[in-house]
Amino acid sequence: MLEVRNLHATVAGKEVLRGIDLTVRAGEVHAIMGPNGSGKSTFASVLAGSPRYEVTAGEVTFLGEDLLGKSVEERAREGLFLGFQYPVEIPGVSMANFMKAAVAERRKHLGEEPLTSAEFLRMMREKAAIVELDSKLVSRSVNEGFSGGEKKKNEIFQMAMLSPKLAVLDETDSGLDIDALRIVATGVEKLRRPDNATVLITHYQRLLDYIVPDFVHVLYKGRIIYSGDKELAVKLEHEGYDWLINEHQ
Amino acid sequence: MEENNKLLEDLAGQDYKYGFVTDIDTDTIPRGLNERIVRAISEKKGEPAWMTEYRLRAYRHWLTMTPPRWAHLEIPEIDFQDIIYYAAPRTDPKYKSMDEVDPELKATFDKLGIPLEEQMALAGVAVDAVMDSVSVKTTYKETLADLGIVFCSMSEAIRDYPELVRKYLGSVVPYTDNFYAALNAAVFSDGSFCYIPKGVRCPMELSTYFRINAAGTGQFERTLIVADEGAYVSYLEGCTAPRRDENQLHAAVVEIVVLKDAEVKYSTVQNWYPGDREGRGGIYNFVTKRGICKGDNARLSWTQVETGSAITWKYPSCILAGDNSVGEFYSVAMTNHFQQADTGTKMIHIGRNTRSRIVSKGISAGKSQNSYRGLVRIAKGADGAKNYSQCDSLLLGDKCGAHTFPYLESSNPTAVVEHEATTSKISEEQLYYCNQRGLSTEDAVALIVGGYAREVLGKLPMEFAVEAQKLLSISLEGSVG
Amino acid sequence: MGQTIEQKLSDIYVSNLDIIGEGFPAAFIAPRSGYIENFMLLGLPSGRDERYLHSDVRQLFASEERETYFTQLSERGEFDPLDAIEGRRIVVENGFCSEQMVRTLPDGVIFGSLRDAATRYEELVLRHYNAVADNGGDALTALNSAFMQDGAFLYVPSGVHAAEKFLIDMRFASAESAQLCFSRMLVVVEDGASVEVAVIWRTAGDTRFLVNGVREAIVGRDASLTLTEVNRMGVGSNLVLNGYVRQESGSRAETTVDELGEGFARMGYATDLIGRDAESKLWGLYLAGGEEHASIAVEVRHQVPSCRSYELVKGIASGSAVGSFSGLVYVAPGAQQTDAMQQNRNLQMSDTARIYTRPQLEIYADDVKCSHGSTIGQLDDEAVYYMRQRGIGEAEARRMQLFGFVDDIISRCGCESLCEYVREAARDRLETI
Repeated sequence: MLEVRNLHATVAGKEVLRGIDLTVRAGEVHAIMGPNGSGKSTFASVLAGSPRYEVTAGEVTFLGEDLLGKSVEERAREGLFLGFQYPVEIPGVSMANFMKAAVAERRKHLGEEPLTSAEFLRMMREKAAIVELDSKLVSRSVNEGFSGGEKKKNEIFQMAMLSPKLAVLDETDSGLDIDALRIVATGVEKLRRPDNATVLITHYQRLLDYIVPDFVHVLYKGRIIYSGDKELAVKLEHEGYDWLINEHQ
Repeated sequence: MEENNKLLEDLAGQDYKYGFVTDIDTDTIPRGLNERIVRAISEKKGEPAWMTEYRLRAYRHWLTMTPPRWAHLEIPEIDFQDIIYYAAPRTDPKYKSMDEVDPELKATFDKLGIPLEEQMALAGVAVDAVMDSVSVKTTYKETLADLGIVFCSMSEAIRDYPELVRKYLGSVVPYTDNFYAALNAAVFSDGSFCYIPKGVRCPMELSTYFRINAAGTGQFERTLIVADEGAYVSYLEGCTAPRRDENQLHAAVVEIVVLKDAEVKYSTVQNWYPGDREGRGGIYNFVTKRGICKGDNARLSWTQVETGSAITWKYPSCILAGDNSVGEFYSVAMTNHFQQADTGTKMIHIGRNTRSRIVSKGISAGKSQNSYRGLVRIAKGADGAKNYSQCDSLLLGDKCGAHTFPYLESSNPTAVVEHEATTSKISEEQLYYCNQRGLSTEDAVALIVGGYAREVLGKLPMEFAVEAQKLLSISLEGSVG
Repeated sequence: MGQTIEQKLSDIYVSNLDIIGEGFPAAFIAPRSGYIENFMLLGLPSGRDERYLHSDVRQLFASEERETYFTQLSERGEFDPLDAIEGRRIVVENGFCSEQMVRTLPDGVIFGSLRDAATRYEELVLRHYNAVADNGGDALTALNSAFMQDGAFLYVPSGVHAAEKFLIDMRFASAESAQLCFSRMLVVVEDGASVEVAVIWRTAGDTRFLVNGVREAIVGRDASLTLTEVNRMGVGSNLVLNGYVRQESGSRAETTVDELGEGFARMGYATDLIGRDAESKLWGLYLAGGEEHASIAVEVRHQVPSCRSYELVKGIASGSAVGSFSGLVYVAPGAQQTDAMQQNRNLQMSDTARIYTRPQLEIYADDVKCSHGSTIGQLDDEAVYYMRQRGIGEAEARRMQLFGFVDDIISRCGCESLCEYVREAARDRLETI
């Protein structure tokens, strides 16, 4: 589903990704871990096509097509979803209108008929239930006045609405209390299907108690320096990254 | 509440600490203003012809102008023919050593807390003291000279560095700028000149102390600071004047030129005689201060603590011409009794990615009127310009006024301009809380006002910050409410 | 050097005295010469005048020779009937009430022609007319008071909660000439009464109008007025409006302004809070593109303690347009426990548009809560990126954000049918600017 080959990227002239290779197949869950500043969030942003980063080398194919030449919205319509670490507030744009527009674009891309208002509202209700998102929030402006936990739930709610092929969740677990973490993680787990895949970017092993990854990768200084299974995450939790970094150097 | 008002009123009765007259002979010229007087001033100072001509042009232009009326100030009619435009202490202004300084004069500076000698050395300050209109003594000239720094009186600069003066004098504040700038250009008697050469970081704070002494005189000093590429200087200015029943006019001009990668910090503690508690006497402080960030990455920062003067009309401004240049304005303006202040700044963004920040803290007490007036203008080419302004007012008592007049103008779609203002008083709860901890209400008010002004006071060099804090609590006395 | 504009207008006034006063009782005619004197004394404001900063009204009067007709024109123009908007309506054409009469409704509400009301309810109208307009300090208000010949009158008696909403359709139509029109309104809401009223400004045909509008509104004790004002005047039109509101104790007034005109508009709102516990709210919006000029000026005067005032004005300027906001919160000596908040938000969309904002506070009492804020900025690029990541195209993302920005104000209109009308209009405008 996703093939990343030798991906290099810079921000303001500084190289932050220095040759990433990664293969994600349908049905898989990958966890990307690593110390602060290792390039985890950058990798997610580059996949989504953030204008802040410049790709300087490498290639990425998504569902068999070149990804890097496409605009942010084209990637999204094809089924690439980024769960933001810091979801932005959009005053004056209601969640309902926002999702209506986004779902319409995704369906159009898939060649599906637009939903009727009734269908759309029903879908909103159903999906909100998955992450126990207060229905009042859905009538507010996008992320405006949401608590940290609500913003993260809202990301997973949007993911449910758009049913992406590949979801890249950037530190979705950070800043969540244990209840919110459970709700978010269960939401992600519920949305798992054989034909989609998830990339979890995380700092802590605790999210992986709820969502069991098939692969765990360690990113360091813009490269994946080690890959393993879920046992690796447990080891990292106990022993930190130093042993890996030392080995790498 | 009642009690606090009373306390405020009591506090407002505070006397002006610096109100003494120095009894030394002064050399003055007749009252009034005409071309002869302008020529006479120039002649007394032994100026070259180009300077005399400049003064005359300014004078002729001044005749065509009228005093500005737009400020939120009630300014009594000023008789410009009833002012003495030149008054120098009748002593040889050149001293070889401290012993030569008139003891009376030295005592004056001591009373002001401005020791000319060792204390200053300890504090690392080089002082150019301007009394009435002539620069009396400049300390540490030699230390500075070793670094190529020029720090002298304007008269000396005109004589010794005519090219620099001709190049920059009037280049930031032309005499056509406003009524008082024109008047100053015509009659200025002295002031300070400072030039920091390329790449030099001035190792000490440079300082000028202004004092108006002679009765019936006006003071019109002129300051010009040029920071060449990559240079840095921090400059301090303090002011006092004796108590008199009449009003005295102070119309100064400060010009600052900041070249590429250079930085200038200009701090003022203004404590001109504010008049008595009935509003009699006091200085009219009509000052034009402006600097230009001429080169890329230049920085100019104005910090002012304004507690004195009967009427203050001043807007230290930054023209941000160089790309990435930065302008700052930090101000505490405190008015009490019948004082009036209309002060603020102008930030003119011309270069790309220019930034400016305005923090203004007004404190009104007694029957005073205190206004912030500021202009932020983003010119067409100023891509990525950013401004943030915060203008707060604190009212002590219900007889005073606090006003905010910001003007924001943008002609660039990438600019971000933000202005916020709030008005507050010291709450009963705050005072009660402090009282409960054993503070008197007076101390509590001083403490709270100090906290309110802290962001600005923190921008002052250490020695000045302490003095400024003291001044604030003195000015506050007889005001709390 | 010829005559000044002021002299010309004064001459026109003098030579048309008879026609101007026609149909009014003597008590309405006598003070007019005083108003024209005030006008001469004050002179037309230029763009440097604080009240009209950046709106050069003098230039408007000088730029084109304009005709003033002192009788109702036959030209009707083509106008959308606005059937979708709820409420009882009158049409005012070029300043004249087209029905030329005033009606008394079953609940005692009086609505219709101001001139007719001045005759039929002389005492009532005299008591309120020119009670709050600043004829002594504002040249354009004085000019209007001298020249006005008709307009709209709405009266809600004590304790009456008006059963219907009211709509004043301010139409301007001309076949082919640049015209100067005077438009006047008087709204009186007596003690304990409440009413909702909308004013829509529109043009047809040759739109080179210069409209000098004045509205007075008096809101009695514990009374409530909800006013929605929409400017939809066409290209080349000029509207200079001065609205005055006076509020007694316990009263509420809520004004929504949607400045969507395609010409020059300077809309002024001055509110005097003269009774304790009065509350004033104002929501404003301007959209300006092309060569348009949009200016909203708000002045709230807290004359007594314990009143509240809130204003939020938003604007978008693109093309070579000028957008301007001028706000003043005045707190009189002794007006303690004032709660006042004023906010202005502007989006600058092009490199030739200009935005001026000037929020001011003038405060003479210490136990007050007053704040203001003002910003000039752009759409949030991060938000655009976020929306694109959800599959929404860039143009659509920007459109949605812009609409969100303006709908915040539009949705405060008195009623849903009116909101829908304004929303439609705003959508159209957003497409073009």
